[in-house]
Amino acid sequence: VRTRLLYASVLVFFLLFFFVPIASVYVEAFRGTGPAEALASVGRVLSSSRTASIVAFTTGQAAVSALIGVLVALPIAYAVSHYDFPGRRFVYSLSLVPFVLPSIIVVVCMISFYGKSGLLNAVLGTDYNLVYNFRGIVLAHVFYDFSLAIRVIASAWRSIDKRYREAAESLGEHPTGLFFRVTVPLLAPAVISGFVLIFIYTFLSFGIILVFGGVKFATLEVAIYQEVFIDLDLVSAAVYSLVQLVLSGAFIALSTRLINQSRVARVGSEADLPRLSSARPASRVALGAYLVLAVVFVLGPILTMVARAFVETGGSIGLENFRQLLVPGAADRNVESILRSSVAGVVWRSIGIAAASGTLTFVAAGAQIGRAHV
Amino acid sequence: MPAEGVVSHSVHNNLVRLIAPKYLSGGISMTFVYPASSQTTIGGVRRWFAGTALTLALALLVAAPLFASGSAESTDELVIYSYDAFPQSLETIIVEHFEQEYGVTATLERFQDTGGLYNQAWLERSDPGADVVIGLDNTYVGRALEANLFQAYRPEGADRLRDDVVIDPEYRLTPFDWGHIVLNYDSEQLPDPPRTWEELLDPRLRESIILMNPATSSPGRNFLLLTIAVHGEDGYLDYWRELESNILTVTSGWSEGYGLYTQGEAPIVLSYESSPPYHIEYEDTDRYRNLVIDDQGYLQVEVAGITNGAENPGNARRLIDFLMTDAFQRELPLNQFMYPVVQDIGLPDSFERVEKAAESVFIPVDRVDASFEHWLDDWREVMQ
Repeated sequence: VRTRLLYASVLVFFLLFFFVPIASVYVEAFRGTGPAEALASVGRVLSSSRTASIVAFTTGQAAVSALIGVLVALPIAYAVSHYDFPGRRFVYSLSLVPFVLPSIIVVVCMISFYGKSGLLNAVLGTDYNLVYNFRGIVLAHVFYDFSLAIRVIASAWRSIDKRYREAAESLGEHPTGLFFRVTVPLLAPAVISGFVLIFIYTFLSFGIILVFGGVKFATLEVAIYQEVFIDLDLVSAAVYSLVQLVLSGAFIALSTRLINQSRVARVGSEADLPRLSSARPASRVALGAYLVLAVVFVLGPILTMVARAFVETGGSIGLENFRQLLVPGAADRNVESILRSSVAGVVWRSIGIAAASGTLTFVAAGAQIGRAHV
Repeated sequence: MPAEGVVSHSVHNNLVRLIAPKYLSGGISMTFVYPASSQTTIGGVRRWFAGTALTLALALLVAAPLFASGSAESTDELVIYSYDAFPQSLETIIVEHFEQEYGVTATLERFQDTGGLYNQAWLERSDPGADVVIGLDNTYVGRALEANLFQAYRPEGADRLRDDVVIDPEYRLTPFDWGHIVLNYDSEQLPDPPRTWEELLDPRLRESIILMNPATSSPGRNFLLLTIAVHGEDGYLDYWRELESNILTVTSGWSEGYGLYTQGEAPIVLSYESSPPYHIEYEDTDRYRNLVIDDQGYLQVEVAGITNGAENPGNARRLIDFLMTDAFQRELPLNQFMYPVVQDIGLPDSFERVEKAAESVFIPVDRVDASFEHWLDDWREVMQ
């Protein structure tokens, strides 16, 4: 009964906050046109070259971001699933970043660290343009979302049954073979779900593209916004949102299939982890250096942004910027907007976490079903 | 500084706004619904106003025979729409004026940027929620008149207006401030700025200019028009092709672009002739200066208009009159950082100190209305 109640409340939630508003936009878009006319205009939008290039860009940037994101996450996942070291929990908790940072803050972080006047260029004494182009979009996405893959991959890696490795070893498999024939197939589903998670998040990217995309790049999400609020073309907006819905649904479905086929076999083995200091020197140094780099990669931009809040116009350090928030006239609106956005933030982030873990459960459930058939 | 919003969470609010009037206010009829919080439910606010207005109308209907001479126009409300950046201080001046002079409650609702404001007025064209819309600019005037969104009213004090700012001779849209759209530069990063359109293409300025998208930003629109006026309909695209490598980025709004500029991301930005006085006035620095290319600036005029179907037309006219008074006009330079439209109002010292465009460039609004869409499409093609 409790699960049914849960399902019902979830259904009602989605109905109220998701399907009704979406349906109302579609109704508004096609108000006063006949079915034939509506179909014709949908067809026109679907077959336009602009639609094709938006879909291509949206998919392409998400694929590149997800690929790089997974590659960045893999060594971290390996480290936290195989070794204990100071700050392990901290590294593990990096995966919360995407849930607590709003995308507009990510934009500010990127600019203050990687911008032409950012910390990195200042330290190097250069003025490389790292952010206002395709590279910048991918960089911001990897920074924002790579850690989504850490948790998924790490927990899978950790739970690969030791007996498989031992059996293979006793049958004379050497380490390389062991990695490619045992670890990789067992880990693949988790890597794929990590990829898919990042892919779906970046597929729906909005704020980052809006600032760094300029006039050149638009994801479907940005295109929908532009059609609704700038061009007042509700038909195009409706078509784009349908395309987006269908594609992201398809990606989730496809990933579930892939995971089903790859036959996960996981047995929870929560053995105590060896300390990183007990690892071979080479891997100890390599992993340690990588972890430090990763932490700098994530914390550098965030700390730079925070530090910049204390730099006043003219270059001195102080609280003037914060005082400005509270000057009479602006204070009411600022305080209200802070309150409003924190409440909204908490609510939306919770929903985001719920939805994300929902997706994970969904994927994992698919994997379970796959296993049941083996 | 008028007209431009940061890309922010207001996107979500606007979605609610777009959907709310039609899908929330229909159906249940409520005479008095007090909004729980005026900011969270826009639909609620509007219902509340509608409810109050309805009750008032009923009361008037019942009372009309008793006060046969009473004017049906003297309601005690006034609803104004503007954009996010409309200064709090000017809002206060308007609200206090109406409270003290007429006992009227004036309310100002903000809708993102000029584009968002226009779209809101257009979406509500058959049943306007506002009596007065303040803050459309010349690039929207042609469209707004074509769509018949506003009613004519020649305010008291119209005689004192500068000639060049009256862009609608019928006064459906009345100018209340003006400015020049020009480039600005950071003299610390760029001690030797370009002075001509040709010099602006110099390869030494690679990735040095921050511009705004003409599809979304009013300085962006005005700057595109400036290049069309200067280089001609046949030449502006070629100019942009050459300019492209010197552009660092094209932001969707003025605030983001200007924010990047003051952070030091690029030495040149598209802005207003009155931006440098802001830094002189409030930050005591003349580091940021006007970059008036070939002495030309594009004339931007901000207008206000009474909506067709306004519920409080009497108060709406009072507001347009008030916008023309010295009391309001002399507040513009230091609050809105735009010039007064009424002649013989002196400017603060900080405004006198900066370089200004000698030549005002302007393309008539009906010509803009006829061609802007394809100018913009062609421009997008080149820049994409």
